Parts: sequence; structure tokens; C-alpha cells
Amino acid sequence: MKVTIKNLTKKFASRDKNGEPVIAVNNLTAEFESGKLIALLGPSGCGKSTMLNMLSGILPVTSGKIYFDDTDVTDLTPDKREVGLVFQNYALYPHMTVLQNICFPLKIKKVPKDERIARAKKIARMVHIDEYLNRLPKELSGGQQQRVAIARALVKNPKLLLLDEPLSNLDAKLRLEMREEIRRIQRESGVTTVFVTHDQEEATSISDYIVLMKLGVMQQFSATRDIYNNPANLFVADFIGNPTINQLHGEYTSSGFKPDGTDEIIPIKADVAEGTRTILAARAESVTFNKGENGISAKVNDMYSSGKDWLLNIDIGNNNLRGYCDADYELIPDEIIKVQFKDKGVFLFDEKSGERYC
Amino acid sequence: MKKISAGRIITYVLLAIGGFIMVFPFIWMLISSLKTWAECGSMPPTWWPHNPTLENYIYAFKTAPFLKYFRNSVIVTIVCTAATMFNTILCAFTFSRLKFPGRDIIFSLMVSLMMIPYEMLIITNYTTIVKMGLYDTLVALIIPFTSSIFYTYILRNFFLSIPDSLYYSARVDGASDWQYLWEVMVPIAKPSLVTIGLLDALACWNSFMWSILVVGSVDNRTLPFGLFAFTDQAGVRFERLMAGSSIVVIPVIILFLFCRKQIVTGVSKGGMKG
Amino acid sequence: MTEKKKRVRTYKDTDEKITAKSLIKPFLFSLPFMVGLIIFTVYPFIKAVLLSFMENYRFLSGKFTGYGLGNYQAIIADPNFINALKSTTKYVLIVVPISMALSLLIAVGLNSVKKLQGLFQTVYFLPLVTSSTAIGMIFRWLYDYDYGLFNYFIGLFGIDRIHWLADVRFTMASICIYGIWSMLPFTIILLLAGLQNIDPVYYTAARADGAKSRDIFFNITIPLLMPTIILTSIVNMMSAFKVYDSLFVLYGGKPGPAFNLYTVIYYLYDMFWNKNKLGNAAASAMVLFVIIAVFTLLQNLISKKTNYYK
Repeated sequence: MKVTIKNLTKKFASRDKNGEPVIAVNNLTAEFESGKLIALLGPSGCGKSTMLNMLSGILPVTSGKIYFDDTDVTDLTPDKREVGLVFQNYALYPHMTVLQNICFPLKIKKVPKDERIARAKKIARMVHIDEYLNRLPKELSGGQQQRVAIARALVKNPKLLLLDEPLSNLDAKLRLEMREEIRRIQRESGVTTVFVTHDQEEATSISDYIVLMKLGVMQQFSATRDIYNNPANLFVADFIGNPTINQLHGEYTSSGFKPDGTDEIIPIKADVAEGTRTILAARAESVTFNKGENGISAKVNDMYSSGKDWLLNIDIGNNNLRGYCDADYELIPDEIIKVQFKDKGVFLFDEKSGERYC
Repeated sequence: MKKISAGRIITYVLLAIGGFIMVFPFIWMLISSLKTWAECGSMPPTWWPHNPTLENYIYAFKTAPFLKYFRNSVIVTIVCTAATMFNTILCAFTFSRLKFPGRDIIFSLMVSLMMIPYEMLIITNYTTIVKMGLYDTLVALIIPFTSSIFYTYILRNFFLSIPDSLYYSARVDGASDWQYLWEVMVPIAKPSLVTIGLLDALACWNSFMWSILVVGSVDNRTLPFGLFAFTDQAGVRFERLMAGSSIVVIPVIILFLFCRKQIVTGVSKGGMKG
Repeated sequence: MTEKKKRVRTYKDTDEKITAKSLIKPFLFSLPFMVGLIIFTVYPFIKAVLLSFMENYRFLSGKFTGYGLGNYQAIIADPNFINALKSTTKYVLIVVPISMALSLLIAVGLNSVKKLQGLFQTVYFLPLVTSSTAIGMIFRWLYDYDYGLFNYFIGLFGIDRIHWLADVRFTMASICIYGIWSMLPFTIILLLAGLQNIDPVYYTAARADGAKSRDIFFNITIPLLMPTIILTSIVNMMSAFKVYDSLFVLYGGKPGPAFNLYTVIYYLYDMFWNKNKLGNAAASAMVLFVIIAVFTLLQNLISKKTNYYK
């Protein structure tokens, strides 16, 4: 099912520190393709959970519209929306067994008992929880509880599956496992899925599309690959990617970008007035080093490992940056080397507004 | 250092003595109820009846309609407790889960009503019952007591401790408020509900003064009133009065033996809130 | 934005609009409770307050001559009421401290033993659940002049038999014994709960510091239990102030010899039921209400101040 969101706004009567009414979601418009996995991503307080709650109907909208396919569901209560919802704390009914939990939505719908159990068991198999049908939630591990919660959300064949921070209550190892499980289950069921997360890695690793939000405003909505390769603004570039994108402060000149603290110039072309304060952002993999003559001069500080890769920490003028290097790179502290930037993964932003120039 | 200290032994002995004093009146009640008139009136008293007899019980059931009292007590207790629970559940739900302006202010006003001594209300309640045409009916023993702020207060606190996500989950699962209440909240609150139910049932069973005011005929008496009235019928025949008392007390003792934990929890929870 | 012009009231937390429709559900859900509450608590309360100020109220016609303090003047001038206040106060001042002290000892004892806890609890808490009518009946038997056990026991020590329930010199003592006995279970439960709330860490620490059992009791247990002790005392004072049921049964519905067991509630019932002086009854109810309200406020104040446990 396709989800269309038009000018969605949510205001809360409570006031922020400056006495302004809190606008949790501000005039957001987007369209989620059917059968895709969409991540609502952003730092805490960005309005992503509010978004999700408006999609499920838990929170009424202040203005704007939500359509499921062509049906306007804006004013429907949660029980009428045919969505499945998985909470961060799973919200399993503590007094019901796994089977009863999964059956609950069907029981409410008055599905005959035999059918209910058959459907619940089928879903339980799909999420690999069929061995524990007679256990109570408290007898399950976090990952198992999560599977039950997903099964319960899926059993009624929802048009839309919503997951609120589905992985944040799990330990690191289980998190990796479950996020792949979520991907698998989503593919198998084919249900349009929206999940909320503050972890960019989680979002980029499994979603088809990402909605990146900041303070209630959507910063970018695009396919997951695009958001990394083609960030809309500095915030997006900064938020997505690990290690964090390098940021060099400096000035735009006719021949390129001049970082602060050096007279050398990084050649880059953009439609900007000369003398504009800008930020050159470069992914770590877009920075290359050589001990020859090509490129801009940089001073070597240190080198360290991030798992399988090695990162070299250098200074260009007043700016510090990091780039990938070979594991057998011969480190000489304070050595002056040359740095070049690839075309891909290098962007120019306005220093103040974060607007992207190229 | 594993040997039992003298202090410990003294503690046990003192507790045993104290405990004996606490239950003794009940033991004495049972013993006396099994004695004959002659034995009951003998000095020094006998500690165990020479010829245990159920005659006093038979007398009680024959002379005074104790069976009818018993039946009335059971009806009043069950109906009153059930109605109270129903009202309490709905009201606690209203003031914890539902939303309306002034909810918390209204509730704290209700809580402050708890300090009204019940005796202050009987004057008007008596008139109300008479006006409603309920004088001398079992209904009169029930309806004034079905709205308990205290139980609502306890249950509401429990309801408030149930995470919101459960409610939203149920809503998304298609449940209405009504279904959520009965399918999720009530089962989860079962321990609290059992405690409240037991406390209320005990209060109903033992309720006495009000029944004297609103019940006139023998047919509508409950056990405590019946027992009180039995003094007139039995005279100063304590073996008979003790048999009557036993009839009132034994069901409650049995209940207490089975549900001591819940009752004690309820009392200690409630005690601090008056 | 045009929406600013409409003045729609909303809930602060979710910005949900308050509509008439959204109020129907809470109304219906709480209706059965509220009807009962209004008819049998709110209305009679207001009525009692009004009644206490109505002068020359006629029960049958419902007529009265005006509002005033006449009823209050009447009860203050009534030696029976003053007497009731006095004997109730006396009863409270005797029963509450003694039962508190005894309960404290028993609770500490119960808290210190592990074996037989269940049995002891059953035994000590039994009177709590039994009907006061039956208990009153049993005590009448125990206090019997000819064959009662009390007289038998004092007889063993060569003391003459006493008319426990008829001799003016002993009636207060006999109802106090009864009162203390019946107050114990409730008090023990509350103190025991308080004791179990004390973090064992304090005891361990004190033992490590070399404190003896007695020091621990007076320097740790008692101070930490103080809030519970005070609150329990207040609750007990309230309930002792309302003593009536048991006396009613103990004395077969009579106020005792020479009216010396005429408590405030007794007075209330007597004025209402036997004498048909509703104004006096309402005025005495108000006095009771004020006393209870003061205790309740005190209780709330203290429990707020000493809320460091939870």
C-alpha cells in the first residue's frame, strides 16, 4: 500500500525554552512507495516518533493529510487504520502467552478460533518464534519478545507496519541479527514498513528509503544510497555516514576552496560568489594521500584503526580531517604530505545555512 | 555460631503467648458453643466440653432463621462486591486512561471526600432509602456502598502504572477502549482486584449498623444483625450466642486462611490512606 | 494559516481537540459510580452540613425557621454531648498509645522470626476480618459476671468478681481492653509493613559498627519507623474516635451505665434515631467531620514530609 503524506504538521500546546509552541512535525510532505522499507531517521526530538504516532493514529494531526492509497485516513482512530505497530518496549500483553498475544488482534476482529490459531502459527513460523507459543512474554529474551511483537503486528495482514525504535532495547550483537531479520520478514511479507530510528547505520543498512528529520523539518527524503552520495545539506551529510564526514571551513575563491590557515587551494567548482564562507565536506574514502607533489599540503598527526580499516588523522591549515590509508602506511608524525580529493563524496556547503552548493 | 540464641527463643515464646491471647476469644467461642447449658454455666469453667454437642447450632438454626440470614448475607456480599468492583473498574479506567478536561482535579476532589466520616451521611441516606421505597429490602444494604472512592483510588494507581504502549498497541490491534479495559487492563490488574474484592466482601459481610437502620423485618436481616437480634431470642444463654457467633465468624475465618496474603496486603496498602 | 482564528480547546499534551463527542465516553464509563457517589456521598454530605445550620428543622415536613448556629449551641449546652466528647477522647488517649506500644513489640518480634511467620500472622490478624458483632458478643461472654473468664481469672488471684459492663468504675477499663485487643491486628500490619520497608543495609552497617540489638532497636529501627508510627497513630486515632459498633453490641444497644460510654457517634445515632433531633445529630456529625478532617490533613502533611521511602 502506498502512503501519501501531505503538509503534515503537529503542534503541541507545550512551549519550548524560548516560549514558542513546539512544532514536532512541520509541514511534511512525502510519498512512501508500496512494499518498501522506509526509515524515519533523526536525532532525538526531531519529530520522527511523532510522525509514526500520526501514521498509526495514536496522535491526532494538527493539520495536513495522510492517505493510505487513495483513502484519507487522517481522522481515523488507530483501530480503524489497519496498521501494525511494534513498540520499542514491545508492549506484549504480560498476562497472555505468545500464541494469545499473536491471536489478540484476530480475536478482536472476531476471526473464528481455529482460523485465528492457524494464522498465528503461520506468522509465528515466519518470525521463527513457533517453538515458544505457550510461553509468557517474561519468559522470553528481548529478541524473542521483539519477534512476537512483530508477529502480532503482522498477523492481521496490516496495510502498513510501523516499528518504533525496534532495535534500541537489544544488545549490540542481537541488534545486528534482528535488523537483518526485520529486513527478511519485511521482504517475505511484502508489507510497506516504516521504522523509526536515531541510528543512521541501522537506517542505511536495511531501508530502501530514508526520511531524515531535524527539529520537525524533513531534511531529505530519498533512496538510501542517494542520501549518502547526494546529501541535500550539511546536516544530512554530517548525520549520515561513519566515520563522520570531514568538514573543512574556509572561503570560496575563483579557483576553488581555500581552507582556513593555509594559502593553498582545493580545486572545486561551484556557483557561489567569491569570498563566501563555505564548508568543504569530504567522506573519509574520498580523501587520498600521497607523498609526492600532487594536491594540498597537510600535516600528519596520527593513525588508528577502525576495525578492518586504518584512518589517518591530518591537519590542513586549521582544519582536522581523516581519511582511509593502507594498514602498512609508514607513519611519521608531523610529516608534510599531499592530499587530494575525489569527485565523489566531496560537497560544498554554505557555512551558515548549510545549503549545498555542489 | 549456628546455635539458637536465647533471645530468639524468648521472642518465639512471647509471640506464642501474644498469639494465643489474640485467638483465644475465638477458641473460647467455639468451645463454649459446643457445651451444654449446664456446663457452660459451671465454675470453674471446663476447658473442653465433656459432651460436645451441636445442639446449640441446631437451636440457632431452628429458633432464629440463621439459614435465611446466611442466605441474605451471601446475596448482599456477592451482589455488593460485584457491583462495587464493576463501578470501581469503570471509574478507575475513566480517571486513568480516558481523557477529559479537569480529570485530575475532579479526582483529587473525589479523594478528599474520603475524609467524610460515614456516620455523617447516614442521616440523609436513611431518608433517601426510604424515599426510594427501598426500606427493608436487601437492595438498601447494597446500593449506598457500590461507589468506593478508596478502592477506585487504589485501582487507579495500578492502572496508571500500566505502560501507555500497551494501550496504544491494543488500539492499533483493533481493540476499543471497552475491549482494552476488559481484555488487557483487568487481567493484568487481577492481583489488585482480588485484594479489593476481598476487602469489600469482608466489609459487606460484617456490615452491621446500617442494616439495623434500614432493615425492619426478620426476613431481610443479614448475619450480624441476626446475631445481634438473637440475644433477644436466646436470652443470656451464652452457649447459644456463641453458636450464633460461630456461624457468622467461621466463613470469614475460612476465607482468611486461604487469602491471608491478599487481605493483609490490601489492609497495609489501604491503612496509610485512611 | 487560517486555523488560528478558530478557538478550539485542546489537551495540553497531545493537542487533541476537545469535542463534545470525546466527553461522552468518560461520562458513560464513570456514570454508575458517579450516580452512587452523588446520591449517597456528596448529596448527604451537603445536606448534613446544611442541616447542622437549620434551626428547628422538622423531619416530617422538612420545614425550618432559618439558618443559624442553634444546633451547635444546643449540643454544646447538652451535657450528654460534652460527656460524649470527653469519654471518646479518654478512650482514644488510652487505647491508641497502649495498642501502639504493644503492636510495636509484636511487629518487631514478627519481623525478626523466619519460621512460623505465616502461622503467627494468621493468628495475630484474625480479629481484623471478623465481624465486630460477633466479637462484641464474645467479649460479653468473657466479661460475664457469673461465668465469664475474666472474673474466673481474677478470682484465681483472690480478687472479687467485677461487674465489668455494669460497674461505672470499670466500664472504661473493660471497653479499653476490648479496644486495644481489636486495634492490634491493623496496627501490627502497618508497622510490620513499615519495618519491612527499612533497608537491611542499615542493620548490617550498624552491626559492623559493633552495635548491639538494643542499640539497633532504639537508634535505627525506631527512628526509621517513626513516620509509620506517627501515621499509624493518626489513623488509629481517627478510627478510635469513631468507636461505636463494638460498644453497641457489647452493651446490647444501650449507652452503658450512667451514660459513661456515650461516644460521639453514639450521640449522633441517639439524636438521629431515638430522639429525632436531626439538627443536633447533624451538628455533632459536623464536629466529628472537623475532627477527622484535622487528623486527615495532619496525616497528609506528615506523609508528604516523610515520603523518602518511596
